[in-house]
Amino acid sequence: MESRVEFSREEINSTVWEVPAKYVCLKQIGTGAYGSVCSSINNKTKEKVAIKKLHRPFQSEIFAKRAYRELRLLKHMKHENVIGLLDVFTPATRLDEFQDFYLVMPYMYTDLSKVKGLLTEDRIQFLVYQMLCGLKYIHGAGIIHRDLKPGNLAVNQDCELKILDFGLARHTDAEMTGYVVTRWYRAPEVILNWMHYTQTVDIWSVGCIMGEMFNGKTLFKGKDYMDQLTQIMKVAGTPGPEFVEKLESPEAKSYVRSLPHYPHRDFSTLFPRASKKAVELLEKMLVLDADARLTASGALAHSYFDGLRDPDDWPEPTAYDDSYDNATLPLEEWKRLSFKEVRSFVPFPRRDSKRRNTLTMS
Amino acid sequence: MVTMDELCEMDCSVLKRLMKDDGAKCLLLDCRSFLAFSAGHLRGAVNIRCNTIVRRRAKGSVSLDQILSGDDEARSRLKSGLYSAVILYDERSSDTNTMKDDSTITLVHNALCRDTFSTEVYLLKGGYDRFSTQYPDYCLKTRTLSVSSSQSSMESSCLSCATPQHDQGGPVEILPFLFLGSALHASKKDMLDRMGISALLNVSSNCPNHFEGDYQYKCIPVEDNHKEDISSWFIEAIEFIDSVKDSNGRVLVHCQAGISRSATICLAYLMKKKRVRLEEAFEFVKQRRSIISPNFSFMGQLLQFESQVLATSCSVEAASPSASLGPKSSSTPTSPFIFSFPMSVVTHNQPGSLTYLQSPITTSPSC
Repeated sequence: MESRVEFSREEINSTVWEVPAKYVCLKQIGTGAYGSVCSSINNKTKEKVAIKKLHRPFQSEIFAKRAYRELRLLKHMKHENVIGLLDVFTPATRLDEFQDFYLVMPYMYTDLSKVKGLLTEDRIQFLVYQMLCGLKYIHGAGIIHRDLKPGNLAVNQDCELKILDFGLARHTDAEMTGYVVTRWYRAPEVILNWMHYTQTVDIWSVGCIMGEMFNGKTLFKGKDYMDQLTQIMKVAGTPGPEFVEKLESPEAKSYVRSLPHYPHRDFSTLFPRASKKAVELLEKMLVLDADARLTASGALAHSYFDGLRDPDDWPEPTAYDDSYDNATLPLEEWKRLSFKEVRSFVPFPRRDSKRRNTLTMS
Repeated sequence: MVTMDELCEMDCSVLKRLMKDDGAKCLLLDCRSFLAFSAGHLRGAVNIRCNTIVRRRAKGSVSLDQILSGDDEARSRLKSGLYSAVILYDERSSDTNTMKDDSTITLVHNALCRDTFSTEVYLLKGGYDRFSTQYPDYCLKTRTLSVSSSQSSMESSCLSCATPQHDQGGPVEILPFLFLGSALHASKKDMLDRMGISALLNVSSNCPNHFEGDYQYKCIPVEDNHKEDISSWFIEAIEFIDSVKDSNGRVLVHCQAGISRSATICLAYLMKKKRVRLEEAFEFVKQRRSIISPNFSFMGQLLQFESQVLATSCSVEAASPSASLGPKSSSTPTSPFIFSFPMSVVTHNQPGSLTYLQSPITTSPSC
């Protein structure tokens, strides 16, 4: 921004919000350990947005690095089925004034965890298609989401879907900076091997979510890791020796060997409401062996999506440059890098620009 | 537009009569969003499909096949001319004059005019809003997801920063001097003070020690993954907890989420000090903090620690036969209380954290 945009200042629930004047009607809709979120109206586009303010992003090197990563990842995402930035700003005009920055994202009406139970098969098909389109893009950029679950899938009133919450997503496994808690959608290899997963961990999650949409209840509702694995085995069947040999942890190997034998369940009786092709797709997504599981591209090629598939939905992603993600840098350097990223933001031209309001409450 | 002149208007009372007399002759097309349709719609109505993806692919003019893709029967009946009328409705349009060129009603009407030449097309005056108010019996409403409750739940929750389960409530008491919680709990001084915490055992390499100088800190820098040898820290952790206990203090053991690493340390302490098996210790802690779930490797290391502790216990008894006969026998208790001191087996929060939660001064806004 070459000329200084006019900012307005407002205190909301003990947090000071200093935002460009075009963002009006700020109303807090959430707060957590790392930030607060307000809904707002962009007075120029009439679009409803969500503005996230990070709490003291530069209080320590760890926080600064985390803030930088979130900013980089959100800036990088430019696909309709993945949450991305509409805007990012800071009231500071110079690096030495730089203390806060704000992330502006589309306001999403609700998430999939609140919509389940109402869905017909063509809606399920449409939602799963969008999940896979978003994942194909994410994976093509070299990123794994790792924490797909209904609460991380935002939907608007027409069931248009965006994958959320890249706060935990990273290009590499070098460091766990957040904590993945919901384990019902986690692939078996995450539980057993942890350090060695591939992009197909996300496909397992899609399979769990798809099955849940058909059945109206959680597929594998384990109460701890061991129970989770047992429930998975009861459906997917006890794995053969080739799978066990791939496990790195001796504890995991002996645990799996100690399990009683479970046969592979008949998926058509497990998912009575699903069509034959849907069952077929589910069987290929909920495969124990990550190497044998469908990829996002492979799933999109399945005949279940004939009639819905459109290659225009799969723009080629740019590889995510993670050169700083695992660096050990002083606080001031993280701050400088973040400031540079805020200043260099360019909005993503959306394909549906004539109807920008479609993604917000109508 | 020329075609707009062909869109007739229909009063709610007229439609009600049609539905009552011979509903099968009319096709009701709900031109609102899926969620609005799900929350409530006219009986027998079909929800059209006209989201941004459909519009974009149609490149300006949607077809019947696209907008009725969810209902093959309705589409075939319409093409066969079996309907005497098609009634379009949205949320509350009152007349055709206010219709915009890019509205869903207009797009659907254009599609109908192109693909069906004989059927009369009407706009329901006042839309769903008016009709459902005047004739609720002719509408279906679901309680599972009404728009208003969605709005209220949306306003009170945030998609990306809801309070996760592991940060809810406060640290739980495992023993009178031993507490288990998350990094968020460890960052709240008011909470720590109210609980009488004097020391923190930080089982992570990334969580900061927020109040150096105010509390005694010890760090165990392990990650929550299979390669970590957390058992090599057991003795050191147990000694730290005991030193806090011996000085009449209270220690909070935490990691990032209070689920895996910190739970593992608490389990090791219980096994060593109370000489119980892992299964018993696990159930004991889980009753107090149900989300504990050490990773597989940590569970394996705890099992190995269990065999070490029990082996030590046996050798001590063997070496000192007179001690086993004494009043302080270390044999496994058969009492339902597996520990040798009074312990309330309840799952609600401790008074300290309840006091914290009720305090208007320290309560912060949360989802």
